[in-house]
Amino acid sequence: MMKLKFNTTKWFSCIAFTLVVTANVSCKKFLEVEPKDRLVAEQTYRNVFDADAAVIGVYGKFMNLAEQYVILNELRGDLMSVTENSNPFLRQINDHQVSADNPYADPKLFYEVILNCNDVLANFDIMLKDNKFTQDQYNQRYSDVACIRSWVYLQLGIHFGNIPYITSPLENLADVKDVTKFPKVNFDQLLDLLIPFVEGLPYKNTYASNSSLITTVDGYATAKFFINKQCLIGDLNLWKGNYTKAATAYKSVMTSFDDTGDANARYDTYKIKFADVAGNNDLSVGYIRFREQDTQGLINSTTQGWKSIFARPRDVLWNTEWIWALPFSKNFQPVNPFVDLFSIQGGKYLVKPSQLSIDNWNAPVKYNGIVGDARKIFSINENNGRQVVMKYLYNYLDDRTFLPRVLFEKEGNWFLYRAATLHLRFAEAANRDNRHKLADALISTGINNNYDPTPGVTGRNVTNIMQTFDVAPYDFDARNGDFPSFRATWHRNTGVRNRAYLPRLAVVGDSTISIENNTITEAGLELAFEGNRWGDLMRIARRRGEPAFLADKVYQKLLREGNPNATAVRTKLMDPNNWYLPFKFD
Amino acid sequence: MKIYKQLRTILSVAFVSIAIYGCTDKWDEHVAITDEIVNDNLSEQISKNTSVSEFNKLLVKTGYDKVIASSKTYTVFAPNNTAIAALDPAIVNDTARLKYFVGNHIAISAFRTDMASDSLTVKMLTGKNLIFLQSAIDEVNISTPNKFAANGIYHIIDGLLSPKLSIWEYLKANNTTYEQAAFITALDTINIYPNGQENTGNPTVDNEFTRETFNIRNEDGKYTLFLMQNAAFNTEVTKLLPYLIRPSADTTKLISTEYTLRDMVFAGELKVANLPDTLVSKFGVKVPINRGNIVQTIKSSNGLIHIVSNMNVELIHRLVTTKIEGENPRQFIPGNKRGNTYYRQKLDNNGIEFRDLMVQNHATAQFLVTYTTPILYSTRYKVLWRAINDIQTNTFQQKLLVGTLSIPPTGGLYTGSIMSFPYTNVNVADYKDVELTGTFNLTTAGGVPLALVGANNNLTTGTNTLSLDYIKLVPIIK
Repeated sequence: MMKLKFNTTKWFSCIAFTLVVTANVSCKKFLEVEPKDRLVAEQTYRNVFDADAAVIGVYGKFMNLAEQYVILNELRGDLMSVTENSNPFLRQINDHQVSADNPYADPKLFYEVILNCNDVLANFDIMLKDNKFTQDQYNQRYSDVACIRSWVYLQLGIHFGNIPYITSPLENLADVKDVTKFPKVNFDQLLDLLIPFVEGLPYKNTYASNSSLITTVDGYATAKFFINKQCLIGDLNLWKGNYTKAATAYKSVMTSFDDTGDANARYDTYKIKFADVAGNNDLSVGYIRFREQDTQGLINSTTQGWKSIFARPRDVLWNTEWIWALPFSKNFQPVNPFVDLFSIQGGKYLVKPSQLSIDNWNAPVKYNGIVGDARKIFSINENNGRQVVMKYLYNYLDDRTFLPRVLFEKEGNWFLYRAATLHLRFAEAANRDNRHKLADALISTGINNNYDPTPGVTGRNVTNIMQTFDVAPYDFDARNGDFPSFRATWHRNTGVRNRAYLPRLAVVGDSTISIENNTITEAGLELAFEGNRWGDLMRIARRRGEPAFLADKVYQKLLREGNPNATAVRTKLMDPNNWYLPFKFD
Repeated sequence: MKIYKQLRTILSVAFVSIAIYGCTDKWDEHVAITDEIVNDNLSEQISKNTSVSEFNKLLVKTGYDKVIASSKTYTVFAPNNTAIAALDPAIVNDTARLKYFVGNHIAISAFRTDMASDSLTVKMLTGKNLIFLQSAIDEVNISTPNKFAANGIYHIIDGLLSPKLSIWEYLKANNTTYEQAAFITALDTINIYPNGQENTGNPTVDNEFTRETFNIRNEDGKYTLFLMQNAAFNTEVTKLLPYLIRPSADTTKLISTEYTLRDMVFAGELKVANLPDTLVSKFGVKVPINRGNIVQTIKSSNGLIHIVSNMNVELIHRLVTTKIEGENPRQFIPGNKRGNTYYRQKLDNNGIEFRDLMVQNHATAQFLVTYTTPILYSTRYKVLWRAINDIQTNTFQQKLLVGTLSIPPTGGLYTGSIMSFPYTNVNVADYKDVELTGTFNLTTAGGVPLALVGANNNLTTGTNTLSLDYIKLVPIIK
């Protein structure tokens, strides 16, 4: 027995030794083949085109957040609700009873983008040091990626409250959990970190038109793929309460096409332009001319009017409205998550418009006396007796038959920022900065109309009317007259509600509070399901120290759908600590 | 060493065997049916139970014993021997009737008494629905509940579940006693309306009564029918005769009868104790209910039949106002003004939504919008309209023609002009009903064409506008 045992050990030792030696020797020879479908570290960050690839890579990863972004911002708010198909995790979000294992409340995808950004930013620094691209190329790309990271942090702050703020490159996602390395910051501290960082970035415009990133990819012009840094600066300052700074940033976006030399670009881009009543080639709610009294005269089209904002290709009019939108295409990853989320045809129909959102749209009366906000039937529609969110589906479905154009070609967009968002945010900032009239004008019927003591009179000298006579950023000139001739920059501005063919919302009582309420009401009608709602409600509730502002709206949503948890959810949301999701990272 | 090795082999084999044997045993125990009787199917079980032996004989005689021995799941409500003894021998001796009777005690799928804590509707093999509530089926007590068998459940009950007639079957069976029943059942084959369509062969559609009111053949609905004794029936029909005059006296009678009877049936099971003093029929007629007039109430399989000695529906209630909606026109003359024609949906001065039709700036003298009516009574009518003038600041005029020449006949008897009401002002922001000056008279009952006529000028925008929310045609009692 002893002898046998000795022999075995010896044999094993021999074999093991041989294996190790072979492995060591052969590894070099056989296993170290350069992969053909991946880049190794030495092949990246060599020149400006590699840097461009890194930026595009960040956006590719960023697009994975689309579904969570819409679910967290809308289903937690008051305009979106669950369907009979919704899984228990979506119901948790809807009922504000989120367990730590809920995949929709998992911050991991957010941190993947952040770590990706950190890595890219560190490498850009190395490239600059090694003179692999110019300072100007560096500035543009570095600022872009830095803003994406800050945008993701803002979202994390809104939804999770206390989060680790990490800016150095990590090799491993699991390091995020290391509390000793990365202590958590709360939302206020986060804003204090983000605002100076973003404001201190070397480049705050959109990419220069001669940049190698402004091109066409798979048939899509890339200019509106990238985050608008001034919008982000505005949003961060609006959250913080720096209203003048916020308004300044927003105003710079509104006027960003003023000096291109193209008059129409100046008058139309991001200006919420008045309707083309004769041809209906606009983005307004409108009727066939002289048939304004006929319910069937409404322009309900994917190529004309308000509905076309979400359906038209990226043409001239599209560019006057959209500031930031990322396309989902059949040709590249990731797959459009919104078809599964919203569609009955070809999708899973997991969420739907809430009854409250429908009631909100049913209430207003249009200029022609016909009841109901037309944006309802452009935003949602009824298919087989079920209410479907349509905004995201026009590139996939036929808007009348609801049939997919091509079943497996799930084309669509992730809608992130547009002129209406910009004007409503500017109005919110201006209102808090004691520019009530200006805020009201932008929401309701436009600068020209509101700063004209006798609107509608023709043949006048308008030199001294139709303008705000205020300091920047509240200086708006909307003069439109022929004696002498004026076509001022803002003369086509019509106001968000006017564009939707709705009269102004009354200002009742304290104008600051009333106009702020109107802004949020209007945002619900105009921007529903575009991923702004929870943030909008929470920002106002935070600013006023009035949790009921948020809690009551969510309560109304649940109440009108007969949700038995309505009262419990209201009670819960009355404590601001319960506004945040559990932060669990594993 | 060798012995040890052998011993080890033997032991291993032994352990494995025990283990496998033990396993099998346990598994058998787990799935074994402890109550041996459940191995038997319903047929076998019922045949072994002496307290239902008489019912079992009927099962065998009708062949239902084979049915409940099959692999489907059934529930059998088996009457005990005492109950079967009371069964009419006439049924026992008629194979078809007996089979129908027995089939009314069997239902597909298993129903336990604990499932019926709230009332449960059980569809029997006859197609009749019986109410299963706690320990009673169709109000017959279940004495021995929940006897399980391999393919279902049986309950022993204290009485018989004789299949009840549906309302339709009751009328069919009693159509010699009640003229009302005779009329309703005869409608399967005769047509009563002018230009009425050909019979299709589908009695539900062909029968004007079931088509216009409720399908009283349907076993899955619940209805209440007031069945008048012949004297009351004739009184009610005679009252209507002068108001539904047709060229043929027979048709007059038929339509009057249909108009009388269609107000006598209601949705739902309205028990005598729950009857209010007035019911409103599907046609808007107020039907007074006097419980003292109810002679008898028949429980049918799909509702109740109240036999009444008197109904006495007032003519003023019977002759209902006809309302023609402005937004449902038949025709426009000329027909090329779609761009000037507005289908509107707005709020009135009280915030109540209305839908109407407006035609504006059409540049046509005497623009016509035509409408048709259902059958109107042969009597004099007054006319009201609601025409809304809310987007102009000036009053305009329009008028109504009844039975105009310019429109093709609409299936009624009227092609010529009956009445041309005078041009009437449509005042700004007037949301009230406006009565037109004058009345029109119909000598025979029938559909009548109507036309709304715009002002006789084609030049001035805003003065030849037409607007109509609705027209009310109010019959006047002769």
